[in-house]
Amino acid sequence: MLVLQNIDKSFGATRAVQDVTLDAAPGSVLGLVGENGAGKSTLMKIAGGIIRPDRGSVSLDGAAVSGRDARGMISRGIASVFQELTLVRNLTVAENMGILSPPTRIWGSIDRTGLEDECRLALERYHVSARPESQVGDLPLGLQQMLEIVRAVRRRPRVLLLDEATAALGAAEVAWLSHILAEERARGAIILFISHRWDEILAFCQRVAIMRNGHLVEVSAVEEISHDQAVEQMTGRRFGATFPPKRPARIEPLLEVETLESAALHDVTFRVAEGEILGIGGLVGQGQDALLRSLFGAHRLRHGTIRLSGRSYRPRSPRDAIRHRIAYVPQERKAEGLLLHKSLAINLSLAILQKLTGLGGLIQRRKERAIAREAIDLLKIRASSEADLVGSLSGGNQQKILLQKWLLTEPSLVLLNDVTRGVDIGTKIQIYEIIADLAAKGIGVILYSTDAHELVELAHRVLVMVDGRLSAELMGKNLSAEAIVHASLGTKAFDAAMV
Amino acid sequence: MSGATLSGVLHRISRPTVLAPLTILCCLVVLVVVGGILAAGFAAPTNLLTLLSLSAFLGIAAIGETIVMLTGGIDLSIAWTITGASIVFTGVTQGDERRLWLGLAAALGMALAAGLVNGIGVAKLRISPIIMTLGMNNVMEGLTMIYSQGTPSGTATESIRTLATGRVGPLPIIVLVWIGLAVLVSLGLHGTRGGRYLYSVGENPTVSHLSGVDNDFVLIIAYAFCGLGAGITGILFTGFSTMSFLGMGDQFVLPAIAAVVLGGTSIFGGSGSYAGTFVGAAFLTVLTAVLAIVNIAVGYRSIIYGFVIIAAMLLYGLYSRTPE
Repeated sequence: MLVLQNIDKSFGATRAVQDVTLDAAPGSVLGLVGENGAGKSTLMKIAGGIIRPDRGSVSLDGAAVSGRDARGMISRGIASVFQELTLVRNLTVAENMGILSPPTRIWGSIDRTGLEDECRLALERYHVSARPESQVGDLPLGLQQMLEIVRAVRRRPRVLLLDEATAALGAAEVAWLSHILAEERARGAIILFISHRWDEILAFCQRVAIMRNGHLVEVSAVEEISHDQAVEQMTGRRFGATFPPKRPARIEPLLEVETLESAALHDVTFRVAEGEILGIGGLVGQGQDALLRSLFGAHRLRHGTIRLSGRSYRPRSPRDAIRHRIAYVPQERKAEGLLLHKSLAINLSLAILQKLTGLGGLIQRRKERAIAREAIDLLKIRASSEADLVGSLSGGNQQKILLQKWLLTEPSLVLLNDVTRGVDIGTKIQIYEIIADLAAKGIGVILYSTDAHELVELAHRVLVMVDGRLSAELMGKNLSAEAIVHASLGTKAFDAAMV
Repeated sequence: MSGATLSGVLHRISRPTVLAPLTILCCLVVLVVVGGILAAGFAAPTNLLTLLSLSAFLGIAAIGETIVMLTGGIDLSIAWTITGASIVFTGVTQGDERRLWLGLAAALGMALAAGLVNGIGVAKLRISPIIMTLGMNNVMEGLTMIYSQGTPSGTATESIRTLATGRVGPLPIIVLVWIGLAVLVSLGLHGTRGGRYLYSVGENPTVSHLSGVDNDFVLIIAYAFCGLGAGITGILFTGFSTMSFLGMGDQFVLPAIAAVVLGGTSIFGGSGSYAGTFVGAAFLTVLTAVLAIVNIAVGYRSIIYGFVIIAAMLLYGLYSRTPE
């Protein structure tokens, strides 16, 4: 039994967790949900002994937990997986797996073959198709996340903490995780699970704890609370519906893509009409990224033709693509999307500076500030002023700024690369509304998402990618989350029991 | 305006790019006071103006270095670009005022070309800035040797000598030139689109590229500016020493880089200001002067100088450590 008693924790003036009492039983999964900044992650880190609470106590099977370092936690049988990956990119899969306790030869040097063999066994045991000798940095994000999970689970921990560990996983990988969690429960592990996706909470958890502004507002059995009730508890607001209604797309073709070929794409042909939301699904790393980037001039094509509003279009660079009024919202906002050490205003104007430049290359600062203030009001961004550094804002607010940065370019086609990943429900609903609005204005949208549910509810049509090819086109009554998962697996030999 | 509130101002000051130069400015004041105690007349206005005019050469050499370091790069080739520009200038003009413009064009053209080659090497050929500019430094040394056949000839023209050593009333002209350039550079960095792109390339080239910035072009222009700045430094310094000599640019390289770093510019690029470099250059010049009056051996002077730079780096590291 893991028991948290009257936990308080503040960071400076922010009271992250206030008077939380919670317990988690062996052989069960406790879900933790709430908006970004609600205190879920802090609470989880306190439960794992990574952060010391200001007040209150944590005990595991009757003994106090108050470790601080990674080794101490592991020896107590606590393993954690976070959304931010902790694998070393320059090391191989095997080296990452065995980093704390590698097999050694008599004189103490690391036994490479032993290490790789050991790793291969673990990967087979947990059905992960990666090679022990590959460099972690070269693997797709989803696979890295799976490795991280395997690394935690194979130590057979007493307590397993998963903090948005599914954020980079697609539908099929989530099914894989569900299989693993079932095993762990059977073994009697205590599992805490943070996710922004309600269907995962329903599938994995027996109980769910809802947090808002540092307080625990509700603990309940998952079958006793509906999604709408949970959202209301998390946000303190009542929403009509999570997803806006779909409006019919226009007939005029906006983008016509024929037989694209590249290192990551094979024979890709499709069309997008004005005002259409085209969903792209599939397992993580099947060429979806390359497809969006190729349309934005950031991925080299071997051949194929693209027509934009009837005219031949072959972007040489993102700069060129922006000129053709195409916007690309990248997946990793911190690495690809935003300048974290720069102000909100500077980030918002970066892609439209040409329009804001006057005589002698001077930037019209007043106009720039006005644009930023307008965005803060319009998107309800929580910031004290437009001079705030973007890095100091919460993830949801950063995501809104990233989106707005691209909407300011007044695009005719918007490419969205998994833009709701790791974003809280309130922000998600806002982003869904923005996407629906874009389509209503006749703007074409290509939406890649790892959340099958999201694709089903937002897109007019969904194309599923396998190995760089389009494996299925789903629309109308054929469009469902199950159909997406089914098509995603394609010809891949997956253990039937895992789906 | 929300930026003008007290908390807003305090917030801005707490950033390392502002805090570091402020700290150095305080150290500079302390140094002047110490100098004044050690030697009578050190803190007198005339001496301070002289020190400021000495700082000007370093400060102008550090303009290009600031620009390049904001992109996350470095330029080690300014040593022989400065020397080369100076030797070409005296060689072409031979102190003759009628050939001033020809001399300027030749010297600055050569310096600009060196910068462009650096930029193309770093941006297009993806050569590490340290290697590229170190190699370029050797190339410039070779070219200068061939041009001068080992013995530079000629002198600075009268106009350049006036620019470097003349005064308007009590004020050295070179200081006015420096201040003028500082204002222009700061405006360019903070107020123009090019400046904005420079910071964005330095902070995150991926974000910058995906936002439609032509990263390669920005890098090439940055190194070109650095070359041009070195050329200007070379010509002005010729005016100060009245003639050119081999190796005259060597004394500028490390202090220029140190001035940039002391001024709070991140060596990883993306943040910093020329105002910081300005203070850094003044600090280093005054430090050298104070060490000279303390009358300790040259070896110890170098050691102290080195430790000051290391200490500044340490300070900067402390400031930029942001709580998670």
